[in-house]
Amino acid sequence: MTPSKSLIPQVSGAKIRSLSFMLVSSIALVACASTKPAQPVVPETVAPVAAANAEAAPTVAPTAPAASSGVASAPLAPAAPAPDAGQSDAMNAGENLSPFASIAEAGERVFFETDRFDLTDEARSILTRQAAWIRANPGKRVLIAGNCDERGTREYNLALGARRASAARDFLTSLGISPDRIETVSYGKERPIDDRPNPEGWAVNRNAHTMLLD
Amino acid sequence: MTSHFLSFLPLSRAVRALVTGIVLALACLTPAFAQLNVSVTEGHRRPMPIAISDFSGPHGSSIANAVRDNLARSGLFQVQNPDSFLQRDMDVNVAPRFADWRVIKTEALVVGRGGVNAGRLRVEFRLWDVYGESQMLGLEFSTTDENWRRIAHKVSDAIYRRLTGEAGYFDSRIVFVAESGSRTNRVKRLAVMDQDGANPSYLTDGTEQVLNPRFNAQGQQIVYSALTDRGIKIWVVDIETGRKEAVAIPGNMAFAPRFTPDGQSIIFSADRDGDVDVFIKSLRTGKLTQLTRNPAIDTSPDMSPNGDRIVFTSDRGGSTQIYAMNADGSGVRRLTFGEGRYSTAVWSPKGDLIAFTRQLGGQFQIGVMAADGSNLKILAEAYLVEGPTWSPNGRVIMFQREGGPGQSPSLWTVDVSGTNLRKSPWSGPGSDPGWSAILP
Repeated sequence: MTPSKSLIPQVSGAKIRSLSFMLVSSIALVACASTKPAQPVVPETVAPVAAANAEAAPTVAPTAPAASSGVASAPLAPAAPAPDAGQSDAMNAGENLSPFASIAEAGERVFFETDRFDLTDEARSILTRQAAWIRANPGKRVLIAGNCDERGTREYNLALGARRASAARDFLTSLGISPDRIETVSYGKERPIDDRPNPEGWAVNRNAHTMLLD
Repeated sequence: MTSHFLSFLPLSRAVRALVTGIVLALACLTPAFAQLNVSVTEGHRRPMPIAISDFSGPHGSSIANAVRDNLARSGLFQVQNPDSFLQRDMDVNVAPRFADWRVIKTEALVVGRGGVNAGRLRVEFRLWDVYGESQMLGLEFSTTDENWRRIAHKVSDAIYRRLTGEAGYFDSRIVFVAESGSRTNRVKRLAVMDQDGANPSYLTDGTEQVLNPRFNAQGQQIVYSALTDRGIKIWVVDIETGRKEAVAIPGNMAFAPRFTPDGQSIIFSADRDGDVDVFIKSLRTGKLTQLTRNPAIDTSPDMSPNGDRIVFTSDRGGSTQIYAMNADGSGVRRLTFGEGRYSTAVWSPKGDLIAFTRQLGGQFQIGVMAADGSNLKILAEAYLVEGPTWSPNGRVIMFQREGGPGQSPSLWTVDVSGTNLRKSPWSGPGSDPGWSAILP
């Protein structure tokens, strides 16, 4: 992602200078009782937060932001319908041959109803094909990202996306895939793939997306 | 007091005596100006006409313009067009020709001037009651020259307080997410600006998607979450130094952070195998405490200003609603029962009201209710509105708004009275506003 041009200057830290704004004097020309000097509108000093900050330092790990490399982010390829024979092959435990060349070919996204995280029959079918590929590629790990449409609040949707990713993961582990080979994440409503602001677009954006790691 | 004030003004003794004499004479003829006040609670039945003459000295007209804009946007004042002014020879130390100002039917008048003294900008102003022919307020502020806008905001806050009896909110800042890029490849950068949209600056470069930034009560730190391919992390940034630190939390998904009112802890939600619960982490000791234990979604926590209650969003009852609990997680009580889905509850600065987002009938709404969930009132509605944040005085709510399908989000404000809905002067796409306290 590249930021678009903007007129805003880039700065390392927005400055709020501690302007010791001084209430130098209350101007009072009028000698009536009703013109008492105004209350100071400015507190004199800032409450020191530096101490708290310094004490916090040991508990706050100065970690770098998570690396954004290593996640396959190829555009969505249309899922090929799985051959029946392939699916039954895949279900054979111990069979190391996947009928799918990639997760994308197995079907990389499963879709959800509005505000739901339970798997549809179609979703289970796609996840079963994903399991076949994962089983046939023992060295590989996957990341499942839960996604939501734009018709929810941001933080709720992050939670809902986590549920969707976990539902997909739980189904894969129920098929015998080791949980160690699956990472989950939620993108909430932050990474839609369909920009149509209508029920068709929203349906596409409610998904769990399985991607190859490493 | 009079002589103290005059002592630093370069006035001749004769002028000093004259000014004092005139104003004393005028002021003592007229009754107090009790009639000149503005109600901030009832909506604005009749905005008060106020004239702000251009200040003399450095940044004089710019300061006057910033004050005019602030007062006009509050909805409580009818700010007079300077072209209509009859008296132009304003002197901050001479009483105005009140009759001239009554001609244009202004009730309040602001006169000011600036000067540079020892490298600092000093601005003094007086607020006059035009019909009472008396001074209501006279103050002076000083700062460095480049911070002249903050003087304009301090002046605005002083006028607002004098005329409404309530604290102002103009000398404050907004942290928000500046958005750019297409809807399917959104760049979301942490940004800060003055309450009136001036002095915007970025704090992150856009490589990660910044969500839900909030100030601490002291206004010097911002907590936010940043989404990357592999997870979402909570960060604290010091806006003076620009230093950022990740808050260490087990797991790869921690989000919806807010500072506790004392600034010593962060309350947030985190995912454990698809179960999102509310946690609190002390920034002093590092202690992490789980506050909700429920298989449902529990998120968007906010601690009350006195620190004893926490509101949060949960779907434990089947639909998404707002709940409250004690600071230790006990005493959970559901607050909302009406139609629709409720979320993003946030306490007012006084702790008497809770603002929230509601989804109803395909629309989103911003509303407020009492701390016990009663007296619910809807303030704004659109295709998408969410994420309310309170002005420091609790009179205005800012939120994110998309007017219709496919529109970019922008920042809007509405008064708690339900009136004065308007777009923020910040012109770009923006979301997730967080309002600071009044600046130090």
